[in-house]
Amino acid sequence: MREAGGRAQMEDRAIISVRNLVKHFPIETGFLRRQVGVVKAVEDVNFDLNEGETLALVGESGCGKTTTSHCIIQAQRPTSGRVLFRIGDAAPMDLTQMEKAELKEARRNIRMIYQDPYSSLNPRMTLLQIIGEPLVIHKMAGSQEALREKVAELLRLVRLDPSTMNRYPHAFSGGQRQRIAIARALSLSPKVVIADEAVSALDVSVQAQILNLLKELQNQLGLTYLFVAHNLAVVKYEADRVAVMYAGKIVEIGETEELYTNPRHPYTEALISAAPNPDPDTKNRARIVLAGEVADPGNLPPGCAFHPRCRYAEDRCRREIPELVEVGGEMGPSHRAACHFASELELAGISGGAEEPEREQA
Amino acid sequence: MTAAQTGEREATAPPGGDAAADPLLSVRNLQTHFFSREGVVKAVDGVSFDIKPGEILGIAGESGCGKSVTSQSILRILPRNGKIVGGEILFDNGESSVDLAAEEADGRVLRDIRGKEIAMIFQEPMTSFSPVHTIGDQIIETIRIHQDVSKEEAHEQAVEMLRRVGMPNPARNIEEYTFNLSGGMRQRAMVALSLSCRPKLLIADEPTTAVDVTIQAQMLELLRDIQADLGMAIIMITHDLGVIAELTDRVMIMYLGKEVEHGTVEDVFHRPQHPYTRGLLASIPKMEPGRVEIEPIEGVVPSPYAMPTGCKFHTRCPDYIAGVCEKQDPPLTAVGPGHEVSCYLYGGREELE
Amino acid sequence: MTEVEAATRLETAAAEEQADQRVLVASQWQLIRWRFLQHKLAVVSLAVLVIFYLVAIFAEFVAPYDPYIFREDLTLAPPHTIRFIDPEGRFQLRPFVHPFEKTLDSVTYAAIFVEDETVMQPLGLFVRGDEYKLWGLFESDIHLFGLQDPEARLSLLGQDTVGRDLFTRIVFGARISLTIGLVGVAMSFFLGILFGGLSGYLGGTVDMVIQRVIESLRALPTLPLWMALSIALPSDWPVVRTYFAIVIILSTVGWTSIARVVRGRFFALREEDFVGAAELDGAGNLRIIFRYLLPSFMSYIIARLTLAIPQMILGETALSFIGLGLQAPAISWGVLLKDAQAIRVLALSPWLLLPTLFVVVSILAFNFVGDGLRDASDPYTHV
Repeated sequence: MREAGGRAQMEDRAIISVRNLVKHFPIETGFLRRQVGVVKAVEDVNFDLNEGETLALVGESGCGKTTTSHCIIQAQRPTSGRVLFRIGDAAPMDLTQMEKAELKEARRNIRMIYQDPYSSLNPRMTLLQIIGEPLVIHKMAGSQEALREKVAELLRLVRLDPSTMNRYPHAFSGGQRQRIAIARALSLSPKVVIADEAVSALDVSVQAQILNLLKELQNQLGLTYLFVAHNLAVVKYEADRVAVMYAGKIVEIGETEELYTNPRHPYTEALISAAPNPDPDTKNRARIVLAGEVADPGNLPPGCAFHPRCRYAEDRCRREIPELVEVGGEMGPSHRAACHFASELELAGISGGAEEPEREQA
Repeated sequence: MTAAQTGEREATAPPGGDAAADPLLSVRNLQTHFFSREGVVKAVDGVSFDIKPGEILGIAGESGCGKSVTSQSILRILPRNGKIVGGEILFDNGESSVDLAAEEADGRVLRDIRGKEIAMIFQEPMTSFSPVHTIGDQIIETIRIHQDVSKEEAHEQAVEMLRRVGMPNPARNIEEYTFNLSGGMRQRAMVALSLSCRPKLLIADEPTTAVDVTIQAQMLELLRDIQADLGMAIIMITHDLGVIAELTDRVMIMYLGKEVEHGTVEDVFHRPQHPYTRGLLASIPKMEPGRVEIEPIEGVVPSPYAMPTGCKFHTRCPDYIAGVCEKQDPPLTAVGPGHEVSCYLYGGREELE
Repeated sequence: MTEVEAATRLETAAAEEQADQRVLVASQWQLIRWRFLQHKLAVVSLAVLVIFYLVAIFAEFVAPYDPYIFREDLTLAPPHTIRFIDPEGRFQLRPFVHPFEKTLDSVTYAAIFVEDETVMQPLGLFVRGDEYKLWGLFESDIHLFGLQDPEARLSLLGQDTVGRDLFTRIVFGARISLTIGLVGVAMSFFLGILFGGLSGYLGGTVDMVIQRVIESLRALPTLPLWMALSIALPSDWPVVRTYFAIVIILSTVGWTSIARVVRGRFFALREEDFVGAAELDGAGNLRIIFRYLLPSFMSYIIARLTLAIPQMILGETALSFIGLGLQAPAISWGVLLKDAQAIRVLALSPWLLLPTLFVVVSILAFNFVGDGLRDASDPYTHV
């Protein structure tokens, strides 16, 4: 395998380090497929995924969160940048430089769960075949008997009845299918699981089952999750750390509780404010409603991509692209934001609203 | 929290609508079934509710609960294999009360009511518009179908409506085609189209499900403002209890074609009685500081072809009473003013014995 | 209560419903079969087709006569009336016919066939008649049915212009007319999967070239193209060679639509998450094609093929009818219909048009079966 350089490039606890990740899609037109522009889906993204944690990538559609996750597992090849992956004390490897055979090995340890459990399971294969497929491909199955045993164990792990392994996916509901997808992801005993909107297609009662199941499995198996999602409440429940993305960039990253109660980027503040809360008492709270739409990654505004919708924007924001810088102070855990005025603005998080104490009195 | 007091106060004077007024729409024991090769699906199986003028009612539930079929039944726009097999949908058209369930789906009465008295907005705004006509053409046409006005007057009304829904440049937007608009603007244009004849009732079927959270916030704000402005009643159909809590006055929770609980949002969200409602609320991660655990409802939603007997929820219910719940459908029982639950925990068992 | 418990609680409730249990472990093909069986018209049509093909396979046995033996005295004789009541008014258990007596119209000199009521010729099953060699292998003279007197002739659907039995010839014609569709479609299928698959899998320039070729072929009007190609066939070729040449001509256009379908499904399926998941699982290209892509659209392709067969049958009939397809002595429904070209025939011997009925019935049957298959072919669309 390819070695990507000294250990210094990765944080001590990191299992995956994303460095200067860029993914551009050409905009082509006409018969000769002439390139007329470029969609900057992911633009200079950096973060570390620490062993055993759940890091959420959150943002609206088109923000680049899904593309980022695909570039990590090399389902899409990034335009530039590095994705360093390390197991234990071994030297980090750069996934972006790997050939097919090397990637096949690396992908045993990085697995993926998709959003739509109806599309992600082959309807023409039984559970045994679906969950056993990775084991067969990686020649880890052994005999048919051993394979059945292993699949039964995986089904028990995701709380499905092993006697159902000869059934086809159409016999299962959405939540059960997502359990099957999880069992498939876990069949090779991976270190990292990328969950790409893994609960967004599910009904709330079932979504809660899957969220709890993912947490239990993490504790039980020591998994590391990259949790891609758009629902802030779900992310708050599931993630240890959160990275908020806007127009292909991380605009804020920090520990979940800190980021939700003390956001330092106006976009994070607006997202938190806009998330509907199932509590009628908060009905009349003053809500930040962002005007306009998400920036078009094929035609980004100059300066800070968020400035056309930002209520705090000033001249500087229209000219200069802000860097993602540390805002969390020296003592506490890292909290970084990409806003020129991150240290000056007084932004409201989930505890910042006036309705909370009011509700206590009521 | 002295919630009971607030609850009573609110119950006597609901926040929206006029308590004394006659209902605008009264659905009585509605049953809508779907007939397919695999069997009969009782998508809506005996649902009743009222909505008063100017009130915002939420209908909430998970997929397969029948909330969308209920709205399609009201406007009689069911898919071909769906049929209303029982019940009444009484709509007060100002002069008299019409039973929409008894009318021809394509008859004159419904064509007059659809779009004029009752309008609907959908999850996907593009389905409301024809791609080959400008927004203005379609709004003007809708106005002129239902109102006897000149083209110029209709044009003026259309521009006015686009302005009300917050289109940035109504005079220009009216000449545009929907594919030129961004997602959020399409949503606004759809609301403008649906409200162009000033309907008395607007049915919104998951209008915010496919959009991003910031656009959803815009949409909810728009609906709230325009309701205050025009005063129509709204039925908001969604699976998102957050949206219900933010927008509606009263809410009906459905499960597998049945109503399980209804009441004011305050009652239902702060004092949920039905185990399903409680389970749903406990399943939702909260946007509150600190760790708040969630508790899922166990089990899976039964297949529509193999519905449980008795209370449809008994297969997943933590308070399941053996020998009772699987016998018969629990009746609706009042647990407070305007707050009803269909669950044997709160009565109805006497009749069973 | 765990999910498993809840699920079992639910399942025991439904356990009586054995059918439900079967569905859970039903494979794709089982689901397709169940759905197809619910399409009554398709099932009936399938039965009709099965009968037609059995008849075509056992043509020598099913047909009462040799298709080439003619009886001058019976030229253009009409169909017999099969009777159960004899001239004395008694009921006969065994059906019989009266033989024809040929006379000439004294004014027009047209042949007139009158039944000779004095003679009764009973029908029978497994009667002896003309000798034949089934598939060129088994010699026999037993026919499924016919007149018990081997010298007499049963005119079930009338006689043709030279006194050959029309029913016999329709039965033999089925052999060519029905198989030409199958062979042609098999050929289209092969070409379609090959080029459609290449197009969809390789993409890029290959895709573009193949697509342009398909568009060009489809831009040509079918019938003139076929006509042009068949004119090029030497008229002295043996029947078998002409047959295959015609099949190839008919397939020139047929494969293009299948290639498009295959390509489209390829593109669509590659976007499916389960294919992406298989790639991340480490599955190789061949595994993905054979385990994921092909099974996913095989059923659909088969349905499309069934719907393509009628076009082939019609193509053969049309070409033969205008004299550019198969020629006598070959027997196909199109060749038979060539006899019915003259307006005189329509007026005086309308039974010569009967092959049309068989063409129509078989085409309708194929269409209904195709419809049923298409509806059933993706059992996962609406759950």
